[in-house]
Amino acid sequence: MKSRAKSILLLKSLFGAYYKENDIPTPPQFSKREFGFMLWTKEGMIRHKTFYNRSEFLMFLRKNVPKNAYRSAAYYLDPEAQNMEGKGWLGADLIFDIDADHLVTKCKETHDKWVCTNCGAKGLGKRPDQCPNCKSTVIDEITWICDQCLNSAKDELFKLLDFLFSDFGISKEEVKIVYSGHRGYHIHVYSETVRELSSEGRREIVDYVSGTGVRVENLGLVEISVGGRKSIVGPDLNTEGWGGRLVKSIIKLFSSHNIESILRDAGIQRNKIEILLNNKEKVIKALSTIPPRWDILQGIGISIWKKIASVAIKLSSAQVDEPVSIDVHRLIRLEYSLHGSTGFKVIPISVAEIEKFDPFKDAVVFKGEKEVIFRDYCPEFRIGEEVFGPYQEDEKVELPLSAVVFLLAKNIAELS
Amino acid sequence: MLTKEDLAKYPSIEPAREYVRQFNIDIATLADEYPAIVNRARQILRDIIVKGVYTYVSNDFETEILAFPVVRLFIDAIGDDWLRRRFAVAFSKRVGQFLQKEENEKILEIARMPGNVSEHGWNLIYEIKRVGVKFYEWKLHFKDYLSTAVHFHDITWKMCNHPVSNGYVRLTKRELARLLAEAFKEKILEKRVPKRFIELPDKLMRILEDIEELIKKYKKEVIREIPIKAEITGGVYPPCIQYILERTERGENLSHVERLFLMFFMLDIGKAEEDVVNLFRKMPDFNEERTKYYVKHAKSKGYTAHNCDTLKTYGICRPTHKWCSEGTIKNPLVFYGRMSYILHKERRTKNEK
Repeated sequence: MKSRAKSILLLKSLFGAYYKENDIPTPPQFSKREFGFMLWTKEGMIRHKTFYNRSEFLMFLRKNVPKNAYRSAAYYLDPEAQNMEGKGWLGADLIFDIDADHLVTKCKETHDKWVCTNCGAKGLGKRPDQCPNCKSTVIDEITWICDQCLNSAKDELFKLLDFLFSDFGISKEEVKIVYSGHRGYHIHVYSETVRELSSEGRREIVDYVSGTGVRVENLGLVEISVGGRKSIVGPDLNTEGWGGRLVKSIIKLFSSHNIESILRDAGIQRNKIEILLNNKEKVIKALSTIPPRWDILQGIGISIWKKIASVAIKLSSAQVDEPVSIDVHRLIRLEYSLHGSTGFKVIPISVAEIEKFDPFKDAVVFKGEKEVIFRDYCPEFRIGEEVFGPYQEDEKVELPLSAVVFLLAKNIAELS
Repeated sequence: MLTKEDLAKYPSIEPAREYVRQFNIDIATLADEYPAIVNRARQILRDIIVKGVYTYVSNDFETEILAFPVVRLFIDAIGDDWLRRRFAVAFSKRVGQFLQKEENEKILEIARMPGNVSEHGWNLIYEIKRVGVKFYEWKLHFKDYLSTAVHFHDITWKMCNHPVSNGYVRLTKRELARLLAEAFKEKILEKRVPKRFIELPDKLMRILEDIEELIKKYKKEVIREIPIKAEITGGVYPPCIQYILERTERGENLSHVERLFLMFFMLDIGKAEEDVVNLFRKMPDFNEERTKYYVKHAKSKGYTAHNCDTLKTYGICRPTHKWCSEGTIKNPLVFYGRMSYILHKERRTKNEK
């Protein structure tokens, strides 16, 4: 038997044991949901599945042992109907996807790889649009995950939660955070207020949290003329919505150690940067008072504040994957299922627990040991408290089963 | 408490419908029993067709209330989409004007009442708040705000440009009036009786034929044919423009930004001013003089069509072509230029063969 086939067999038997030993909970109102599955041996996805009772659901998982399992964010009258028109859409929970894949992190340069399928050229970092060797555009990407990636995703998650709770008035009980089992988090909002929102309405919410289309004039940051004298007025710390966020973000920015490079990247002239850097404390104090004093610094006019504001908006926005939120028929990963690319559990986490949640420990399922042989260079990774690697191509190592599953699912090693 | 005058000003709301129901009017005898109402309905329709205005007669509230469902009956019986939209836009504009001057208590009552602007009524609160130099008088739940504000493509209507807290979006009185007027429009557009189910007695049928004749005449004289129509399906336009052109062709209302974008784009690619004006003839609120002025002004200023990034922000971008989804173009004009070149080359190759 070929080694990849052997690996898949092991993965399937381990996944099978997991589904047999665990009573996977059904998602809320599961009989109105559409389910979708990807199997180990078949290409494509089985869609339009529905379950009328829990035992039928468990039986399906145990019998078919899916590589990946999904369910709809939407509620349908007839989830089994083969087309969307026939399903009878009743509404959908609001879903946000925060994926480290879409975040700019330095770690990607060290652990993500690409291979040109045409000439075999390889490289580290993000996949280029064109192979530098043969100019082919068919390039495979092998992505990796590390603490830095997942912590960046968590930072975005915290920003998103603040928008949901403070601005949208969503309660903690209405929000479920789910670790995706791979590179990020899914945030489910179960609230009557969002259930019937159109795709356009959901897009507007995404634009809100990502700060798309914010115009500082609309937040009140404007130049006015009082008795012939020009003056700048703007939002304060307590202003509702983006106004207050902008002030907080500027204060945070002036407290950060890399403010100089940020101001430079914002396109502010050198002499103006000098004024701002020499008066950091003064700016923080002026913007922290109510009413704030936006015209505290001579020589820093409205155009400079607008440049600073545009950076501050970017820093305090939450980066979410728009297509996931606006698609009202989207299938999302089934909670408590296993992710076929890592073997990690797709695990719900409460808002209180998220700070401490450690995907490399808390989403790990398998126990025991196995020997593997590496097909390729493998960067360092962590499972639980233990750090493994890096490993070289053809290296044989005995590893804990959870690490073995991760490597086999990632297709970077085989059973020896 | 809503008065008879209120029902005359807002004849589409639930209490007005209830008021009409009490009369137990039969379509078969409508023209004989209520000739004044039928005449008023006919006048309203004439004004909608010719002037694009839903007029108001302030000295006979009862006729105003009763004429509204008769106007709708004629519109359903005619089954012309252009007329339906022109009616909805004209009515919504009138509602907006009334609401701007309306007492707050009345606004609250109308907006909150189920069935008037939405099935359950709006979650609206009166609360004054000063933010910077702006005074907000109202706050509306984001669910209700989004149900209507997404129809506007102006950046000031983006939720992020309003104070938002604890689920509520703050609005000025003017903004709320505009939003409510749009909700009135959507509401009257959503309900219709299919033409095939309506059978009018002879007297009403004759009026209907007169109105149809007037529509035909107006369409011939004012709407004319759209000269650019033939190119709509030619594939030369970027998907965003294509979508706007298709809606223009159907006589759907366009937002202010969509109109500007279409205008700038068409002028940029070298269309004559008159051809650009003709594009807007089917708009439900078309005004020839105003359109000509805008087009002339845009041409003299040499405005350029919006960039893709700006269009994304306005929700106008429709990245259905791979050039758009892959982000290889930054402005729709680049799409047009590239596609024109390809199509031209293809045509030449075909001719040479």
